[in-house]
Amino acid sequence: MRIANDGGMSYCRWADKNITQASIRDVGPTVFFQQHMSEVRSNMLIGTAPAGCAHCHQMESHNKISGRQKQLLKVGVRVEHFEKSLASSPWVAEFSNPDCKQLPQDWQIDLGNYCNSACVFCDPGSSSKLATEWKKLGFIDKLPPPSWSADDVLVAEFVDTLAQSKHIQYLHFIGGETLLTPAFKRILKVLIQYGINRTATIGFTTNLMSWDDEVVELLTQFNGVNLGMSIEAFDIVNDYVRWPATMPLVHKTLDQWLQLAKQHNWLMQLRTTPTVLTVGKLLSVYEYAWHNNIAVESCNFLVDPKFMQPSVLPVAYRENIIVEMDQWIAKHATNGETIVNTRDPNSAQQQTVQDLQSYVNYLKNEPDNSNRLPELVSFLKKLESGRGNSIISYLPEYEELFRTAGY
Amino acid sequence: MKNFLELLATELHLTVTVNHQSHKAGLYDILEFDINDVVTIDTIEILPKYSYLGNNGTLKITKPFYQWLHGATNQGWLLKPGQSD
Repeated sequence: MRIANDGGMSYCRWADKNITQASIRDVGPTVFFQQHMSEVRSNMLIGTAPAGCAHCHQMESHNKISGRQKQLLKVGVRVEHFEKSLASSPWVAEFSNPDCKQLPQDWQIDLGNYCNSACVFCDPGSSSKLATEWKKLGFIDKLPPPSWSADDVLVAEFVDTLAQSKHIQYLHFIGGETLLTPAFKRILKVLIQYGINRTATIGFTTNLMSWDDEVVELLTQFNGVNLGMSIEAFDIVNDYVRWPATMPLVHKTLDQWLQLAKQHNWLMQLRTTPTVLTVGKLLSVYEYAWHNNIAVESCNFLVDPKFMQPSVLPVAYRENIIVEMDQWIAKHATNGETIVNTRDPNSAQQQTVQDLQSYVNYLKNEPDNSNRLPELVSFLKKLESGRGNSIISYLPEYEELFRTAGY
Repeated sequence: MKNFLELLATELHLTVTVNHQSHKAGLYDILEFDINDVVTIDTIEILPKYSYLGNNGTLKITKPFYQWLHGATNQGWLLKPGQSD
């Protein structure tokens, strides 16, 4: 299950962010899991798909491995053998047990919006730097309220909940920037005190603009670490999109993490959020991943802001990108089954090809939403008024497109 | 597609083919094969593909087949209920 930055809890880390059922400020995580989530479970049992699952269904329509598939896999359920694998799951008796006594074993914990990046596709709830900027520009009236993780009492209660379970398998933390978030360090320390580090794997995503020796030292004490490193392109456009990133610092930090991860046998992934601005340079991420034998995990196709979705790129502009991607896939594809376990380091290259293929499918099949270009241009111009940069310097090949849309 | 409650009420079988001869087995049956046999279960290749998991000339599947397959195909960790939590 998931705790969002504002403390809202939801039944799945992949569920629509807007669908939360209760706040950790009002209800303990155990009560939420055992009681509040029973309605979701009951509906699923009678065949009603939860409303929050729509993004996963969109991913599957482009043959992208969805969060739904990844989470089902953890309880032994495979979509391609759905009925029999479900009936064979160790959880089959629990699925229909109205008196749930289980505790969550697998969490996504959003720690708040502390962040030194202000990525153009991000939102104030996930970046304090962006929130300050948006307030100054008049996009928002007030800053988001403090995260639940800023409340020491809530954090202590949460960690106590974790300590009650003997079966914590995986804890995935995101921010903001996790390395800058005080609660990340605090929670890691308490997990070590409780001995949870001996069996649990910690996952987190970092923006390649931060480093913290103390956190690194704490992480080395865990059973496993899944390290996600955010990058949109190995190209100068990454500096624009992940502002104020600079490629030299990103490269240096990436090399530092790679070295550390290899030393400790941590699982590495490049995490990317393709947008209309970066989808043309996306191949560079997959190329890097292939050569370094690490996987790329791009989450669900971008939902908000809508004017930043890759589908805003006109069909005519997509053609060369699709050709380049198709050629790369033809050169690197290997025969094999679909990889659902995206945390299998032995299939990183195959996963990389598979994930890129989903973007080819997306670019070929998603409707042309270029009618949103004026919204995009208007937004970028306002941001650039404070940042003193220009998208044209980073993407000169789109100059005519953006000028036509009002740039 | 059936919903979950209907699925629980359905008797499900595995289709096991050994050297081109097919028979049905229960979903949770323990299965045992000679490692030199050619075996598919529900059209999924088992032998010779997973012969390296055999022991003393025998491949023994001692847990429900789809749970075994999860491990054999490297699908990552399989969470289990923790009644003692």
